[in-house]
Amino acid sequence: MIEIEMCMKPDYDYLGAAVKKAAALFKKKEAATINAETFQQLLTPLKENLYNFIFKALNFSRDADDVFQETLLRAFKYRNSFKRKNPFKTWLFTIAHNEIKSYFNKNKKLPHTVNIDLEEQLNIVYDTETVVDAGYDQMVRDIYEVAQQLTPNQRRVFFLFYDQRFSIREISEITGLKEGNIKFILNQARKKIKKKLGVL
Amino acid sequence: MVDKIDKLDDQMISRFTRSVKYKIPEAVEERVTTALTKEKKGKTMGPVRSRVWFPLSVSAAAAAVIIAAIFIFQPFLNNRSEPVTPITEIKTEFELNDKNIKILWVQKKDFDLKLRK
Repeated sequence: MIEIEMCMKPDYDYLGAAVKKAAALFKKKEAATINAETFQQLLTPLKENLYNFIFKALNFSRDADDVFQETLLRAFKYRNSFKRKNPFKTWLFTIAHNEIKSYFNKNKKLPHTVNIDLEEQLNIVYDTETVVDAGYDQMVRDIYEVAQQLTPNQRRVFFLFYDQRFSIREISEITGLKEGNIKFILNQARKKIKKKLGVL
Repeated sequence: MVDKIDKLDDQMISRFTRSVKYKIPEAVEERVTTALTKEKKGKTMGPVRSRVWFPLSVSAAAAAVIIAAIFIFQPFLNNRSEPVTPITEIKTEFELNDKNIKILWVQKKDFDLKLRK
């Protein structure tokens, strides 16, 4: 006699199990998405920093307003591509960096270095520890004068490190540059600043 | 040499750099808010559509599972009406009418021949 044993149980609710599994997958997908309110909550504390980075990276050009807007729109549009395990700030500044890069690619005829009257342009804000004197202001102007003379790529690295206080590894993620290149750029900028300040 | 970072100098440079700050101009804020609102409105159709399509897709998947189950289990369901029984014996009858003899040939597992008068 040959016996056939069936592996599917007659009383098992296969339809219900399929619906439950589909619902669980849908919930998982919903948890991975960022709605508009969550996006605003994540963005609000970083908005001013983002604007400052773009404005300085574009050498105080008013085109920074457009680049800033484009950055935020793009970030909102692709907010679900943000991987929650990484910091939101790094992801946001990567988009900003790419927008600035696109801007310079579209406007190749723009001079890389710009001479701006820093005396008028710079809005220096003093914290409680600052000894306010002409020397302090002059040092700030000297540093920004050096930053003006950097290439657009170097300027972005400079402000990401010194202004936004990203680490070398984070800057590497944002810009796609190798850490060695970033350290070289910063080292060169540091030497120029020291030379300008008369420290060397 | 490039690996060396003078932390004190970096801190000072950072402090000087960060002392220059700008607020986002109001006009830019308004522009950005308007643009984001437009983008949000454009996106609100998405979730509503997915709420309509999701039950449909689940129903279609469930129907597909049922149809597949019918095709898979049909042979097993059919076979239940035809149980296979083992053959335990074979009977053969011989009649010799002129001799008035009837021979019943019964074959079992051990094939013993039994005559019946």
